[in-house]
Amino acid sequence: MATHTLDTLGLKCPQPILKVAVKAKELQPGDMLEILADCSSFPKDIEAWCSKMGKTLLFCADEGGGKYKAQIQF
Amino acid sequence: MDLSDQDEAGLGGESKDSGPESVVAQGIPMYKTLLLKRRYGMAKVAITCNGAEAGNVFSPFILGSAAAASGDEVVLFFTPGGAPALVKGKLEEMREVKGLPDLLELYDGVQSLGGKVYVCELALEAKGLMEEDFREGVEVVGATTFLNEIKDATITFSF
Repeated sequence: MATHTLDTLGLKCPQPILKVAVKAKELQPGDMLEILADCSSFPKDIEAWCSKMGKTLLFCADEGGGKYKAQIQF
Repeated sequence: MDLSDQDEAGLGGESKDSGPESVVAQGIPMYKTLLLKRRYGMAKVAITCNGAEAGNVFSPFILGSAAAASGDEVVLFFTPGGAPALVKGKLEEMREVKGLPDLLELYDGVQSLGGKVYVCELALEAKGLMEEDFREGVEVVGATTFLNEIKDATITFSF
């Protein structure tokens, strides 16, 4: 089990999700992925992605200043 | 997961119709990959692009990359009107539009997640282009090939 981080600050929809999907290919079951984003559609999009891909969204927190931090359990 | 769906799908059980042709690379039988796709609600998405301006080109790559990122099978088809956008260097020219994502990253994303980018074969003569004029990853195909490939697509767009 490993924890990975992904910084998508400054990227517009759908790039943050695209980065998550590309990163997901190298993750193992049990790994954690922490994502930083400031795209306003990110909270809903990451929830939709996790639901569709069968991954567990542990949280998506509003960090203030338009930034979000999400954690996914693979 | 709905167990009745699993029973209907026959996952984990013997399948009578899994002939040798249904076995794909990586050793995963085709019927299982198809059923796994259905279980997770994956779709096939077909998008045509009929123009080579930024107004035509961004939407196919935004929607296409979002779909590919969510596990959908994506097929983009550029008609002769859209084909010039895929000539080497053209996406770079329209890459940066205020407020929009980076077009090249979307293109690479679609490619790296297994999406297909087709150009209509008619574009060659109609636009005076050669196959080698197109950027890496672009495939020149006929209408019949495209239609055969998307016959089970449930989501379609045209721009």
